[in-house]
Amino acid sequence: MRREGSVRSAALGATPPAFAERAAPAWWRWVPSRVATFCLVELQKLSHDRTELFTRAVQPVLWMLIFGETSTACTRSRPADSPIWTSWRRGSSPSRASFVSIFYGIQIIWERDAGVLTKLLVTPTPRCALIIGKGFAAGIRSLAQVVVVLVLSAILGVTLSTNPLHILAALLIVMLGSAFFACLSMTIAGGGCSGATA
Amino acid sequence: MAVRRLLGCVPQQLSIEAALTGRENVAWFARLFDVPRAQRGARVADALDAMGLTEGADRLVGTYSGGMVRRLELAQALVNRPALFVLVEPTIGLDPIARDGVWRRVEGLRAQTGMTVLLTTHYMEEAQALCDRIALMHHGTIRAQGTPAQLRDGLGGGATLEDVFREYTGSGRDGEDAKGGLGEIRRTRRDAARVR
Repeated sequence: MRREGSVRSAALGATPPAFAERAAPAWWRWVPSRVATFCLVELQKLSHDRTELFTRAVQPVLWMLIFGETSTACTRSRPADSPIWTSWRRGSSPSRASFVSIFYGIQIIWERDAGVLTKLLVTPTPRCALIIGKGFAAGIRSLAQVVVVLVLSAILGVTLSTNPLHILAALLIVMLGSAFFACLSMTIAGGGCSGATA
Repeated sequence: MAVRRLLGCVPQQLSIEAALTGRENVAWFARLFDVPRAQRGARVADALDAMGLTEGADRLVGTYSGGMVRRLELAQALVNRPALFVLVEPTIGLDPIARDGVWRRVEGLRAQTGMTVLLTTHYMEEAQALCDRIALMHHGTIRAQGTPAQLRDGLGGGATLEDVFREYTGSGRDGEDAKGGLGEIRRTRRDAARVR
């Protein structure tokens, strides 16, 4: 066996179970901590690789520019205060959020195959915290999509509320809705995996 | 949860987030293991340093070689300073140089920290090089266990560990059918493809 210089790390050479001896944090600290961790990881992934953001943005852009334009032309008789754009935008945000979060949740199947899930389950993370954390991470992905829709809507001249509370409430609803759909798809995917294993 | 705090685990598959840097991957697990925020940065740096990954720590993992990915997984599992370190076929799909690098790191860690390392492998040379005690398993049961010397001496006549393996796990088609099935080959090929 080829030998090179010895491994050096004074800190690793200390008593091994230093952290293991620490008291476990209270359950009410686990969930926010894990949610924040998974959301941070998702933000880091997005900051490094924006390909998925752009490719997924194609669909709402098509809907709003092509189908929206066509529908507007076909419904000239609609009242002036209810343009078709508004309806498209209202529909686009939740549909994008639900698509993104459902797909994100289903990815747990591949994570299981790749061994990522095994590693996560070895950490002191309760399963419910893991699922909730991943659910809110899906929310981060969805928010990125919703921002694309909102920017596009503003460019197209759709009337938007500028009240910060309204915008915050909308983002919160998107986040919670995405978490719900991601949890739902993870549950279904998990059930499918268990069935396949059995 | 208390038991999980004592564990470090490296699964058989290469299970690293390729869209994150090496440092971010290790920091992710430091957070999941509740490493205190004040010590997190130093812990992550120590784990990366111990695995010889300091230089490439801020590069995306997608640019790493198979051996570097495997060492990064070791760093991820070590950031908690586990008392029991579980390695599931850590060198599968690696070339001899990368495999040698993983062996060297595992040996170094064991010598430094005194932690218990539980290693599963199909490579007898790996077991010979790394293990103080070996348990040979077949069809879910332990068929033989002892130090490498004890197992070899048990057969006598200058037997190698591979001879011992054949003796206890069946040298005929029985063993091949059990471990070399289509599913096993597919998994191995998929892992090898991910390493490349």
